[in-house]
Amino acid sequence: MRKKLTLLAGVALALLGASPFASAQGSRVEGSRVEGSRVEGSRVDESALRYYASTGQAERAQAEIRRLRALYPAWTPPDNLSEKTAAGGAEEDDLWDLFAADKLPELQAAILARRAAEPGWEPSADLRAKFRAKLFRARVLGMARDGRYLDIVRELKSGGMRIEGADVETLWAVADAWRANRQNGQALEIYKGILRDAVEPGPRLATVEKAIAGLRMEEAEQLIALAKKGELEPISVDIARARIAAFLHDERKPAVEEADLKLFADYAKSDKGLKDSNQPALLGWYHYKLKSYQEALDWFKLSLEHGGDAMVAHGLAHALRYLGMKREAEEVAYAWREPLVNNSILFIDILERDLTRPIPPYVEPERLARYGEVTLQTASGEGAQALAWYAYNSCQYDAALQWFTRAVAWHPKEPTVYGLALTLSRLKQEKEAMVWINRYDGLFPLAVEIIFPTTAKPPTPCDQRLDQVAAFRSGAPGVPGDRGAPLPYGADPRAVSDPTGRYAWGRVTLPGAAGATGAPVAKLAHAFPIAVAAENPLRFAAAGQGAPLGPAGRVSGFAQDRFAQDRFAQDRWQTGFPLVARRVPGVGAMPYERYGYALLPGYNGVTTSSAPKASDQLAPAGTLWSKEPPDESASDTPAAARVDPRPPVETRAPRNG
Amino acid sequence: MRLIRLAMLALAAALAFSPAHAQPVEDAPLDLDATEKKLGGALKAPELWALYKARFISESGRVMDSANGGISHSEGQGYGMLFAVAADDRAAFDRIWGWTRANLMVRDDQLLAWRWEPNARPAVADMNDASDGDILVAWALVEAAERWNDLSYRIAARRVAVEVGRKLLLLGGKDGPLLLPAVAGFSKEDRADGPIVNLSYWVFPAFARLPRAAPEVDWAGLTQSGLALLRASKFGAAGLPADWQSFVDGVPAPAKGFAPAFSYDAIRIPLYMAMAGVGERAAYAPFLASWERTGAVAAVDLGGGGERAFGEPGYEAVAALAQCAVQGKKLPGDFAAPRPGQNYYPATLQMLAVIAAQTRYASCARS
Repeated sequence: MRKKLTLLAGVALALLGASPFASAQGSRVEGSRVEGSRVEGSRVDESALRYYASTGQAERAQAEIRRLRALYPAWTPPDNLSEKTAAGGAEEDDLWDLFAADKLPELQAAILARRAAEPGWEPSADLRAKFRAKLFRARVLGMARDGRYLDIVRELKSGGMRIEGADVETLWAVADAWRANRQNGQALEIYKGILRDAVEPGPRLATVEKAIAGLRMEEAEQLIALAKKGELEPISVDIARARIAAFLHDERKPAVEEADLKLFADYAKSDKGLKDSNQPALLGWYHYKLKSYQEALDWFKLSLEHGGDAMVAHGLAHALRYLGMKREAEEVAYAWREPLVNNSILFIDILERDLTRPIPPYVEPERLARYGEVTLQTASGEGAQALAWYAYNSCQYDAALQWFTRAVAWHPKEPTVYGLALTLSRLKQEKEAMVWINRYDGLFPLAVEIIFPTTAKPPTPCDQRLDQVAAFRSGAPGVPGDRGAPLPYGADPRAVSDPTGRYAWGRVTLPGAAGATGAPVAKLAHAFPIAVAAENPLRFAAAGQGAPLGPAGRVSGFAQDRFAQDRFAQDRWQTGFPLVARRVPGVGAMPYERYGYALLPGYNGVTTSSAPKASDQLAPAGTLWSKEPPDESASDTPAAARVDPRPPVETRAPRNG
Repeated sequence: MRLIRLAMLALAAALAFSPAHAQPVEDAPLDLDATEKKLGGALKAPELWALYKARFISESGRVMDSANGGISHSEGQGYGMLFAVAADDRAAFDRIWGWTRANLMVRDDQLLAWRWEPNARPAVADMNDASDGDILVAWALVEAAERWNDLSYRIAARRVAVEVGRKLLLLGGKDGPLLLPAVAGFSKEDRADGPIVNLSYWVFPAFARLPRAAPEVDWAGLTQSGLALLRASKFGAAGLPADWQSFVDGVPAPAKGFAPAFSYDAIRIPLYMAMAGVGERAAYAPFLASWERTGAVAAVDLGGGGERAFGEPGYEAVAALAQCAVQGKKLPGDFAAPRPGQNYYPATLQMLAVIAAQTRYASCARS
């Protein structure tokens, strides 16, 4: 076995660059090509030559040497030719000729013919074994070339194929078949066998490389542990890279050892490493995951300087954000918004936090303008409501109305509808405000609260929160949380932001707004409840994506197209809108329930308001959501940042089992 | 089934002379084309689309369930968006998507309220979502973003897809993540027999496309978990999956509080598998056997064993598609024929089957 492997290893070795397996996996990791794989001239089957030499047939041996030389100019005959591989029958010359010429069907026929002609005759054990190995090789490589991995595994399982005596390249194909069948354990055993038996460094290293590229790292580590001391030096960078990637994929728990990190960092900083901007970027993501944001920042920058892409810029923006450089993060996200939507989303979400503060900070007009542009271009409900609240909270009600109508078309959340109704009231468009409040009666208590305001709220956790905020703002010592006691909402009391309207006291009463908490019930009672259309009719197309749609989606500007003749269905079901709301699962109590008004049962028969509300729902264990650290849900963290921004790293192994 | 078996034996005997193909056919791997396919413009049946619009989609973009009091659900909106992009009808797509976001995106996250009733105050019936609706809408947005190169669709697709990955996938399963049917009500915190799953919410053809929106989510793992769950979900004499299943300690069983039936939901399982080109022969076998036995596509009571044919042609289209995919059967001549009397749901299934046949199974078309 060992000898055979040695002999054939060279064949596999030389094929490494060209074989479908090497190109499929080996090239996934840049710079992972084994040096030894460039060995030329040893792609030679010397079996026949060795047979002739061992049986003393000098003439035939010379002829075979000439033939092989012609085929492989770089090849030189081995010195140990006379060494016997196995005893062979002396009258097998013609059979070995066929074997040497790869004429396997003819060889099979010749053997059968001779068996028939000479009863009792059998080919030598050596020829039989070699013939079988060659057949196996041809069959496996042929099936692998056609991607018939399932068939290979099927034959292996049924005992129709035996891998004993196979050469390294064939074994690699067998391992590929197991992997393709999601049986990594079997593939690992094949690789381990090669490492036990093969002696030449080239195929040994290439086998480890294949394991790194194709198995999970914990599996590949078993193989690495089998290597001889110092043997893996030539691929140490690849191993370090794979360990870093495994950490990023949560395939290994502990951080990567310093030695590996340093080795890879040196490589990533070298001219060779910098040719591929993904190399420094990998270290950026590694440090990002460890929350070492400064190191992450440095590596992302280095990557960007060497051609790093929008995903690297995305990592950079997040690192900047964590380092408190929000302005810079905003610029990076803006600059890279086109090639990667992650950056568009991050750009919108970063500034959204500032824009929706109850007391908005100053934002330069050009920043607001470009934020508005991106919002319109991407039809972003998040951006539209942020600008709306900013306008509202800075007393620009006309602008607020424009943005709120878009926000309610794209993103009709409770605070957004609430903001639209408030703005309409400010602009004395009470009738329109009432339409929106009635439309969302039973769904958005906050909007209905405009009509039924609470004059005295019972103490809630939110009131506690208000006290904390007041204490914090007055500089009073002893804010709970300073000493680690958890705050009810988020970690930083400065981060009170009230677009949600949950903290109604956070809103600054604007001049002239006296009476907002008075008793408008009587005044507005005629407008509530009223019947309104159930559908939200607002539609706006993204800027530059065609004409805006009119009410109820009626096309106002689309050119006649080939569907112009098509009709739409009559909505014969929307016949009336009741005056009494019904329960909606996931919604809390409606404000007017305080006065004894009741709601109808919900669609599923539910008769009480929901607690917790859908917005307070606890994350089911096992979801990513449930694993988010508390600081991630703090109000200063944009939604886009709650998502793991890491890109999929390319060295991922297929799932096992 | 007996007929199939006989036919297969005969076939196997015929093939036995050719040693390279000595595998019996029923044991041979199913070689489906699972490559990623774009949906944009794939539907080559304008009259089918025109009829669908005229019967189920309002001018404002609401997809109406004609058999259920004209209600709408996130799933229906998602189907409507998919069909519009498959028909390359951007104006219709914008109507449906415009209605969907304006009326269903009322939750405080990026998912969609699942149920909307035209004559109720408020029209949104439930703040809960349905993960198949979320997935269908995200998938349709991915297709639209590619078809019409629109940044706003791409961003919306990502926001929804990421939220699905964040809130609805239970990670850590040995076969891949599990898909919760909704954010609320189905987890093991919510129910003693939780988590509850609905296999027909595994929209397999979406999982090949959603990496375009959210590559960090394990969509491929979702395909694996769905197929593994199906392998383990064989109930009643028919060995079929139930619409709603509990999954306590990784063991599937028909869920309490739901009819133990293979019914309107689960009929989509073989449809989605064939649409995506995934699933082994064994995965399709119980469905094919059931249709063979009853001679029609039927709901099956997995407790008592009663069978009731669905009755409308759209359901038969599902069977025709699966028989084409697995057995190479030609599609019936009226496979893509418009059926003016058909209700919303079977009409939707027919549209899906036709799109699948036209994108992946051209060889089953009658010449």
